[in-house]
Parts: sequence; structure tokens; C-alpha cells
Amino acid sequence: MAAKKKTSSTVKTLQAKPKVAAKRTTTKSTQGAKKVAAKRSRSKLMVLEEKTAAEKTASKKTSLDALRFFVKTYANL
Amino acid sequence: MSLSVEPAVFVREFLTGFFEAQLVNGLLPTDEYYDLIASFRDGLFTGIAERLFATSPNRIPVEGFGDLRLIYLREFDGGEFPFLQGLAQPFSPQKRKLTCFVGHRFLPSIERSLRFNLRHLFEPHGIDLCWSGYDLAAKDVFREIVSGIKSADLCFFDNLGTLNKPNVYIEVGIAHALDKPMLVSEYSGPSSKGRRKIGDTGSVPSDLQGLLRIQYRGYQDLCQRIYFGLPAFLDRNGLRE
Repeated sequence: MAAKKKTSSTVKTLQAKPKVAAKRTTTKSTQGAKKVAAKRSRSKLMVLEEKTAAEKTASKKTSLDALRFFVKTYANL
Repeated sequence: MSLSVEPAVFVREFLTGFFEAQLVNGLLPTDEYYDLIASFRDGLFTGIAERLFATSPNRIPVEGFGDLRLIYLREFDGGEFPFLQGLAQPFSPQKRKLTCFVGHRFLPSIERSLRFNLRHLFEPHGIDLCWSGYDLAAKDVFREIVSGIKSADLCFFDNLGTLNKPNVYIEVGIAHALDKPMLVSEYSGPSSKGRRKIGDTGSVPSDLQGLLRIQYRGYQDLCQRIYFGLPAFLDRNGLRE
């Protein structure tokens, strides 16, 4: 148990390090800009995901479409 | 006599055969082919399939596209099989009608069924059928046949029952020499065990295999292959406007 506790505290220390480094190298204004950019890219991703879902729904064929395809082929001879 | 079939199963299998022919002829992309095959799982077509059988031969409208009709065509043994028709618009009088010369063994059972079936398959394309009428025998009949093939736009030959009466191959040769587009159907017998192949039928010689050959197990099989393949065949040979 003791060994396990030691390991988890080491991990916590390692995880904390980059946060400290980030605070030291960036100003408040750049942090804000980064947050806005991240939000924008997230929303862009969401739009893309929505588009793909819509395209999938549009391309999904029903068995009635299959019947229509057949009828259309012979109706326009 | 007609075999009882499950309407939804029949319609699904019929349309699957149609889509496969479209795919093979390059008229349907593979992606769309699989989308259409997968679509049958939704079962939305079941109601229409049941109505088609229950009200045959009445027309069933498919909203915005046209009508469907279920009819019964004939096997050479006198049996019947269901067949799905997409109903074409009335043939425009401005379009040129085509003529197809038909050659087959002159036997009452073949004549009664094959001619009945072919009429249903060729008419939607504005194709009139011209029958060879008799087995080649008299000199005048031969001349009449050469003249019939010469004036036809395309030809259809069936080799069922021609083992000891190979006149249909002479007609195939004449059409080949006259450079006529032709469909040659070769009866290959039923595939399932326990069913006997109809005797008195040979096979198409190997030097004729370059022609458009349709191997079939029965008239149901033949009719579907002609129906699904005819639009592409006419396009390839410049016979459609």
C-alpha cells in the first residue's frame, strides 16, 4: 500500500508540472485568446459532426426508394 | 398452376436481381447498390408487396414515379411464375419502333409460353416481334427467314429443344453474317438436385460464345435476365434514342 501511495503522489507531481510551466510562460491575454480559439475549433468540429450526420441521414435509403428506383428505370424507357 | 410465394420475399429477390444487373452493367455504383440491398431490412415495402399479389394484375402506384404491376408469365411445362413490371409511359408515337426477329424451336409448348413472355419484355421498349414461324424446311421459308432477319433491328434466339433440330443455329449464323445485334439464350437446365433437365437440348457452340449469350435454368430465370439486361443491351448497340 505504501508503495502505491508513493507512486500516485509522484504521478500527481508530474502532472502538476506543466501547469506551473504554462502559467510562467503565458500572460493572461494569451490565455484568453487560446480559450477563444479552442472554443471556436470545438464549435467548428461540432458543425462538421452535425453535417456528417445530416449527410448520412440524407444518403440512407429506404426500401421504398428501392422500389422507386426500379419503377423509374422502366417508366422512362 | 402457380407456386405459392411469400410476397415480400419475392419482391426483395426480384429487385435484388435487378440491382445486381444494374451494377454489373455499370449503371449503379457499388456504394448505392449496397445501400439499396440494405434498405430491404426496414420492411417498408412489405405492404406494397402484399397488395401487388392480392390485387394482381391491378396497377399499384408508387408515389411520384409510376406504377407497378404483378403478372404471371409462363414456364415451358405450363406452370406460371410471378413477375414484377415497372409500367412505362405510353410509347411515344414520335419514337421509331424497332423490330426483333425471334427464332426458336417450333413446338407448341415453347411457342405458347416463350412468345407470351417475350411480348411482355420487349413491348415496353417499343420493340415489335417478328417470329420465324416454322422450323426451316421449305426453300421459301428459308428465304422468308433471311428476309426477316435482314429487316430486323435486333434478333433473339433460343436453343431450347434444338438438339436434333439445330435450325436456330443457322438463323444465328445468318444474323451474325448480317451483323445484327442479337441475344442468344441457352437452356442449361435446372440447378437443383432431383429436377431433371429437359431433354433434346444442346449447347451453344463455343465459336458462338462471343455473342451476347444468356444461360438460363427456366423461363423465370430467362425472363428476369432479359428484362434486367435489355436496357443496357439496347444502349450498347445504339438502339435507344
